[in-house]
Amino acid sequence: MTYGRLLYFVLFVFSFLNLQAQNAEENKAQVEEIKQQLIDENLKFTSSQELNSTQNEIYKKKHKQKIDAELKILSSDAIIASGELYLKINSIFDKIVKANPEIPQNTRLVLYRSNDFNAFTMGDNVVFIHIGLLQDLKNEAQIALVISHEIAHNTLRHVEESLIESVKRETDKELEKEISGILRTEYGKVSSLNALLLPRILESREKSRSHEFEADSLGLLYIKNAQFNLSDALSMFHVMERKSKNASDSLNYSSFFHFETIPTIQSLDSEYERESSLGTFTKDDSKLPYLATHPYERDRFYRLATILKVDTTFKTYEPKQDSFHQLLKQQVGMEMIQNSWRNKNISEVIYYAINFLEKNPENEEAKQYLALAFKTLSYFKRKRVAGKFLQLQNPKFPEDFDRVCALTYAISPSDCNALFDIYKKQISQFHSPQSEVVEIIQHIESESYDLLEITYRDNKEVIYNSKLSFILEEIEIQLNNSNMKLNFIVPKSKSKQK
Amino acid sequence: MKNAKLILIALLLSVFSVSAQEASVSNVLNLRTAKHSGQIVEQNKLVGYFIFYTKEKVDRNNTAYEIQMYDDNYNPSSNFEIVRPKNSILLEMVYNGSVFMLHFYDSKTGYEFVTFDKSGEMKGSKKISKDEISKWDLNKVSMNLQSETENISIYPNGDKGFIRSTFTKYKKIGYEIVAYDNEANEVWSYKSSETSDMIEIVEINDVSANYLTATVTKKKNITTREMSNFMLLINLNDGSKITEISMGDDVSGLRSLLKSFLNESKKNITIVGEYYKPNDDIVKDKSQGLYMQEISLTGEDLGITNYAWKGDIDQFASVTDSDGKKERPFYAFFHDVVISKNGHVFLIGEQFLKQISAGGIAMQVAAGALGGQSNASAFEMLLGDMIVIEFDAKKNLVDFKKVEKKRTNIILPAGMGIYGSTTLGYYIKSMGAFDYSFTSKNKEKDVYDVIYIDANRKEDDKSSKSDLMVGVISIKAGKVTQNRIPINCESKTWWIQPGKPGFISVSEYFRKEKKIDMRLEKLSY
Repeated sequence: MTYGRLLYFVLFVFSFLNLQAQNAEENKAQVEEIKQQLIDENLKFTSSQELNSTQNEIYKKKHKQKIDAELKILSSDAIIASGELYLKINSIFDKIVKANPEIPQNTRLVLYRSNDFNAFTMGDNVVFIHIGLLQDLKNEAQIALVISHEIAHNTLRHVEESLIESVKRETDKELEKEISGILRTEYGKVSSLNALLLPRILESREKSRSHEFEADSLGLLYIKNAQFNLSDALSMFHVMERKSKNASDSLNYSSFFHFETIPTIQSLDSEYERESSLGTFTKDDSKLPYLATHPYERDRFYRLATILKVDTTFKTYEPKQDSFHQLLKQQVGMEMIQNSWRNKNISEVIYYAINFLEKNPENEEAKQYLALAFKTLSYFKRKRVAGKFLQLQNPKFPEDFDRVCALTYAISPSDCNALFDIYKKQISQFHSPQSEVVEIIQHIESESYDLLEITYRDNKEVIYNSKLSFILEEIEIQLNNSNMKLNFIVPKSKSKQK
Repeated sequence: MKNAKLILIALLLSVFSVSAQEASVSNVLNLRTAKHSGQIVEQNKLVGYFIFYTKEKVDRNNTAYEIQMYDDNYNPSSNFEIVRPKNSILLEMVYNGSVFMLHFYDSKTGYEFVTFDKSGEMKGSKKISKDEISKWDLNKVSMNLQSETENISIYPNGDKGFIRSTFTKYKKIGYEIVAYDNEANEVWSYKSSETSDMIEIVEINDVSANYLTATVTKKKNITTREMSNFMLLINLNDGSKITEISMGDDVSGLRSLLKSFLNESKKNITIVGEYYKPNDDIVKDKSQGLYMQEISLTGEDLGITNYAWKGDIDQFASVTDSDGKKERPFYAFFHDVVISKNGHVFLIGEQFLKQISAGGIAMQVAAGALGGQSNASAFEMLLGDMIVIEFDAKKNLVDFKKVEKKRTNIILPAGMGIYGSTTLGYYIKSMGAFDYSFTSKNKEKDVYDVIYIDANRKEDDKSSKSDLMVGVISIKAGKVTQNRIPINCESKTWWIQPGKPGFISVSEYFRKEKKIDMRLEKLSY
């Protein structure tokens, strides 16, 4: 590397790290602002006229618990409230809020670091959008419909309504009397409780479904006012239906597992069995619609299409990707990988890294994560602790994901090392803390304990503060068990106690 | 099985979740070992697990139970509710690919066999009142419950029903083999002769599409050591006996029956066991070697080959142990037989030897000095290495492998020292005291993993002791490899149990968090 290039690289790394730090600070500031707004808006508690004074006391307590829970979520490192990805989604959010004056203009959006396909609100003018949702939605209008739907829950005060209902149930003297009576009996307690409570549960689920329809309708109005494409928005129900049926994305994982170069992996893949070991169980699904908290996707679609007086043929609304989605893909894809590390789920890391690399084949960061995943697995598999960090197969998973889970379980430590070597060659340099974790494992493998001590001591705090902490913690447990008198290895749990 | 006990998940409050990598059971208030959780086995292969727990008391005499099933990846599969007399115990749950058969026992009312289909719908039930059940069967069940041993008496009969072995109520102990359809209706029954002047006990060896082979042991009475073995072949379509072949006599020399295998495509049965000198006692005397016999499906003898310990097998076996000293005259106890798709037969055994116990004598002396008695014998059993003896498809002896493991000692209870090594081998087998744990089988994929516990818990000289060292002898497509895998756990309470083929299930109980985490680890790569 020439001197000029070296200088450029150092400056790049420095600016990158500086930018990371700045982003973190900005995120923290934004989150604090949202939290403060939440606290300020809830300084004064408003009693419900539907409840008596005793019930209002309970309502007040539940309300406080809800606020505390929301503040706790906002205080976690799962919240994104700044940065490029956030700004893109927030631009949709802003458009909706500004086009609909009835929406409190201080309503805020945050992104939530979870790979689940979900979004939620807790009734306090804060809307949480899961990263996993952004992974699967295909266009701007679909995202807009989800955001509007959650805002509509707040406008319609559904959360408050549910809270009030729960207070009424808890203070229902008749119900309490009946429950006490049942609990005093010796026989048939569970059946009697079920018989007593099931109608109430079904009623509450019915209410929940009607809330969803209401939020859909009002949400539709919001995005109409904000001039989003309504056909594109309706196509969201296709995506939801695909998710609920666990449809596979047909990931081309075989090339990323290098079947041609490592034929042992290919032969393991040929042993994959889709069906559960107990076969397919047909369950009585007739009660499921009544127990669902959300209506089925097609019902929701049909209602909205009817309101709009447009074509109600579901298949007409196949989702189309737009340029907005193209802009998001990279950032969302990388977040999914990061979330998987946080979840300590190496199967997911590999799956989402492959998913990402399919569309961005030259991306070094994803390759680093993939390499690190395989190197970590090679060590964990030799120690027979890989099962703690791998996903077991499930016939309910989409097939491509299930196949990746099966394969990551089956491949040998040496296959993992072979894959690590392949990906390492494609990377110019590992970033921190990936590089330190790889080094530590390599020092253990080569029994270079002097070097291990240096790397471990110099970098353990950095690794502890990252999403890769669990890898180091497991390595510490394993090394602690050894008789090599590695006194410098102090497990994180023990050093905390000190 | 040593160190491989099945664990009860307590009470109604247990919640089993599989949200991520490990399966986790929360709200576990306490652990009990009992017959309330177990494996679902299909054609000798583990296909899942069940948990059987109390839902509620229905009335004074009856309790509603839930049976929750999980597939071999811990995914919740299906659940049934079943109302049983209170104090019902689930002894066995077997799957035949179509329905499940559950065998319940109630100390007051007797047995009930219930079948459920995949949707959880009950297909049928068969009750056997307590007075219809042989006391020997009840004794066996009671012993199994006390020693927490799996009760194995039911075998799938293809996907059309089940076969069960039991005892008769004759004056002398006899056996019965019963076939049930998927609605738990009895289809046929085959019994030993009521007028037989011998005690007759059966052990089912192999069940194929149309035939069943079993070992029948006949003795004059319970205490006598002399016995004769027979290979019984039954037509599964109607329960008729095709043949019952004697495994030798005092004149020609007895033969033990370790295992029999049906090969319907070749239209024959292969029998494997040990052979003895004329007038030798199977339980008391050491065998002369191994034999393999082929019999046609109509009962004709197609030939027998003997393999003597001295002269045939010893040319493969080492005469010295790992320290270079002359190998001790170990006996071999055969735990299992594997027959791979290429026709090779593998006998899985473990070395053992009766010897004087310094520890046992010390305990006796110490107890005597205190004016009491010790329960320890002056003798102990020394367990040696695992052994694998291989025969090719033409019945040639081709290999004898010794898989080294740390020798362990089992001090025998007082009075047992008078028995010979062979008898004591059966005794310690019945106590589950061998290091051999189980064989994980996948006939379809021709993969078998023999699991044993190695008392040497060090991975190598430099390592410290792991919590458990599991030895694995893998037979894949007829090739034998061996491996030792250290298992280390975070929690102080942990256990292993069979997992799906090729895997071992490791469970850890965290008392403070009141949860059990279970995970699968691959046995060999």
